[in-house]
Amino acid sequence: MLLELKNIFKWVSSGGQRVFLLKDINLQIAEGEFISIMGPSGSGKSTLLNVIGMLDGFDEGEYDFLHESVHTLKEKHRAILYKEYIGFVFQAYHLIDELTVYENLEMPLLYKKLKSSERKSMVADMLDRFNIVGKKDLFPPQLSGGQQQLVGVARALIGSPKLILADEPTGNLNSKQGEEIMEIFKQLNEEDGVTIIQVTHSEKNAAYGSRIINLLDGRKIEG
Amino acid sequence: MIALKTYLRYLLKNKLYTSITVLGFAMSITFVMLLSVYIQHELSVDDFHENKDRIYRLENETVDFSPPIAVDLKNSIPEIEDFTRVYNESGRIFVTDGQKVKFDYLGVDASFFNIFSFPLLKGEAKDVLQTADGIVLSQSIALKLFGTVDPIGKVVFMGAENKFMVTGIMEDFPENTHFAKQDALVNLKAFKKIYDFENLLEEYGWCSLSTYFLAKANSDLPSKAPEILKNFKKDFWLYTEGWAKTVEFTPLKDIYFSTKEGSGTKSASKTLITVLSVIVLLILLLAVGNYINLTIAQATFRGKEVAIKKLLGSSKRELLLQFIMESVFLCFAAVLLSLILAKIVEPYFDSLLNTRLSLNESLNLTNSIILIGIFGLIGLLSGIVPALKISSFKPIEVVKGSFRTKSKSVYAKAFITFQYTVTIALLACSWVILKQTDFLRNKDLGFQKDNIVHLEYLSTTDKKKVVKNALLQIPGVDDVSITWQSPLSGGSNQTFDTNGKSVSFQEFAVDSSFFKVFDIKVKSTGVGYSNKGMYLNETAIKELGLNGNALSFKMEDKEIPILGVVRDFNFKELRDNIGPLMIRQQSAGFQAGDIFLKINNKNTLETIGKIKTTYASLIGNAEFDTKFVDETINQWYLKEEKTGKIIGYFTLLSFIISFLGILAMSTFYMQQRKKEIGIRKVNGATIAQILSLLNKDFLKWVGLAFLIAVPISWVAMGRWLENFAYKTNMSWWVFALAGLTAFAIALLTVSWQSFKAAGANPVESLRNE
Repeated sequence: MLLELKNIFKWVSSGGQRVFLLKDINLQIAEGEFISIMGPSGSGKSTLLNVIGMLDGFDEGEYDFLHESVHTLKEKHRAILYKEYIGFVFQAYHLIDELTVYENLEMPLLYKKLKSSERKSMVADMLDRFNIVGKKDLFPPQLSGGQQQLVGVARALIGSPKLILADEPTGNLNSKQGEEIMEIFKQLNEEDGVTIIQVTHSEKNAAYGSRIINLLDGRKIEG
Repeated sequence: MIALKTYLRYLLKNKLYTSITVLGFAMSITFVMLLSVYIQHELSVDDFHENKDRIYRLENETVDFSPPIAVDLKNSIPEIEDFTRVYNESGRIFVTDGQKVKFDYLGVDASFFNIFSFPLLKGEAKDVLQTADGIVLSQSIALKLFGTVDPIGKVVFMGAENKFMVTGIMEDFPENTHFAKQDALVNLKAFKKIYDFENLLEEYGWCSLSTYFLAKANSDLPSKAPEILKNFKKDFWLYTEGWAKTVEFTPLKDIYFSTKEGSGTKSASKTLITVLSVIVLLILLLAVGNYINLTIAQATFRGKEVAIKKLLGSSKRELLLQFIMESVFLCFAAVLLSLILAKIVEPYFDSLLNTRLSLNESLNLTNSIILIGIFGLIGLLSGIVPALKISSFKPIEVVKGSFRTKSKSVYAKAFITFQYTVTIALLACSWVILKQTDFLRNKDLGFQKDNIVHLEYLSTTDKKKVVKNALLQIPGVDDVSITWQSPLSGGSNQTFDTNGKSVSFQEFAVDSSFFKVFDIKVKSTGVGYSNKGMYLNETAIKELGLNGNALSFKMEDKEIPILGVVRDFNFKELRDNIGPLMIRQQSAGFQAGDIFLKINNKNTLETIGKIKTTYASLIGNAEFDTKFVDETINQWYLKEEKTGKIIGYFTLLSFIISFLGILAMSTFYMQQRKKEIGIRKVNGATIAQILSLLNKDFLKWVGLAFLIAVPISWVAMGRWLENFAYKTNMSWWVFALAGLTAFAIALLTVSWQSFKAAGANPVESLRNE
């Protein structure tokens, strides 16, 4: 078992009333799964992803990640945990425009305090793997959306995470670029055994996954 | 109106921003305004004289000429219409049976009131000073002497034999003239009697007067200087003997800023005015730049408002207008606030710069228009820059959330560097000045200055013994010394010939208690006591080329016994080195000028009280001051202290401005980098790592500012310290500390903002909706 959510509630108080973002979410995810989270706007997809990614907290319930109970951990330990095991991919890529492709890929390694030679070889591997060696000295705005997202995925992967969380990774891409990214996810999942959880609107993209979780108004409705 | 209403609501909502912007700007304007008025004030000195363009003062290396020179020149130079000589003196003035009031007066020629436009309240300009026994009193001394009684035609005395009749009353001299405050004017002829010297005004040897000329209209008097110099070199002893080498006519407008001290004048330093002007400009620049920065920084938070307005059909022009209106509005709020602030700090400012600004008078129509014009313009300019920036936001980007306020803010960073350069340099300078003032005050002068009371000697020469004995009777008074000249006055200059060499010594004449009262070390030479014998200080011995065992020296053609060698002590301000000094003895007939009383430090107040009553009874009903020697010495460095204080206030102000500046910039900057911070955090950066990343970027510029500021302040202070013979050393730590202080403040300010940014949940900044 990679992670398990038990009776997760998350709410915000508005005008003295609780507005629930997540309601009684129970979820078990095993290593090697490829999961798609679907649902209409505002159903809590991104919130759930952020909770799983430990970027956001929750108000009630239990969350175990690799047999550690996340809800009892201090912020600092949580950060260590997700730094070690989780990579993020965003719809808007979220690359740093002022850094080159190479530097963007290197950034997470800097925060892991790796040696310069190690970093070099890891970045080189990634560039190689995604066929973007030629782009390493370019800045993100000089790339197409598909290429930027490629860099985004490469950056998520560079720390060899067990889990990749992708929030509408193809949302800003055209269908061909989108397909490429999904193929890469599939390959990662099948060949490297990386667990993937993606949020998506597209049935087609959802079909790449092994399981679909549907959300409505913060509640899991089937799956 | 809706625009203004939303703006007001917006300001109220953002209290911190509003108060920082308005208050910061208002404080700067306050300083700029006060200083501008002061500078205007200083530059307009003597502007009120109707003849201001035709009045010149005759000068050589100093300004002193003999009385007949003015007459000679008037007779030989056709360009001269009129002249007045000016000689200053002080004394005691009284009406029969009244108190002898201390006063300063000028001896002038009858033409004085025709040449200068000092208003007379009573009497006619052409009449009042015609006779040798006429006196013109200032309004305030007239009030002191006569109260409400009309003084015209009344008699005043300056001593039993010196009787004057009041012929006119003048307004007190205003602030804005180069003449110091005077209590009265008399005809120069009066000094024949006062000094008991009938041919005084024909005496070429009496070289102590300032001479002012009124040139004929449309003539060029200054061009006559070379011709006059040629003649002086032929037959005026001052030039033939080489004491003076130049002649020039200094226009009235320049006299106030002249470094040459004339009779009864005051002066100001042009350098100080220049430095202050530069500071005014700097502050204005800093403040305006800051205001623009703050507004731009804040404007980025208003993207949504702009976007919605644009989407709803507002044109770019309307938006521009809105932002400019807002900026002008805020600017005027600041100006109004600064007027109030200026009124509040005016008295303090006056005492600091030793002036009277009369802000109310300065706020006339012209100045008000200038004020409104300048700050309206500043409001406009500082509105336009952010307005252009904000109104060109693309609404769709703002709405979609992909909008980022990014600018290659080289300008902003250069500005931060500039601000901190000014701040660090000012801080270093004010510390050096403080250190120097402290050094001057605490330096060992070579004599004891504590617990010594100083009185002016106001009795007659024959009563010296009586006065001294009476004062010695007072319990608490340990010793009394009567002197002529002292360490406070710096001595009287005495130039004489010794073995064919001309030397210039300072001279005191003291009684036997002097060395004990001041605790000055003297090494006796063993020469038998004689009336004519003198003490010399070590520098004098060196100057005369003698060794320490010399028993006499040559002064003109006399051989003077040396009674003892006095260890060098500072008898002048520490601007000057210790010069050669000779100390005569107060023989019975020698004139006395000062009394020094050594008191013990028990019941000081009581002792002082007794000294006052005893002394008052000894000298009759005359006004006198009781001062402590150490206080007088402290006063010498008041000017330095004030300069230090002025710079200190500017330092504080520039600190506040820089604080606001870096606060605005960091707010702006953090806003810009919100997304980047989010990405980095998601990718594993800790708060500490983010903090150091963000702070480094700012502190780099402060560091650069430090590197620029140190040499500037080092050179500036080096130049300033050259004015002093005794100077503190410019320790490296003063500069290091200045840099460190600025650094610490910058760090705290930036951290305030960056901590907020670094601590924020990255989810917020990475949201796509």
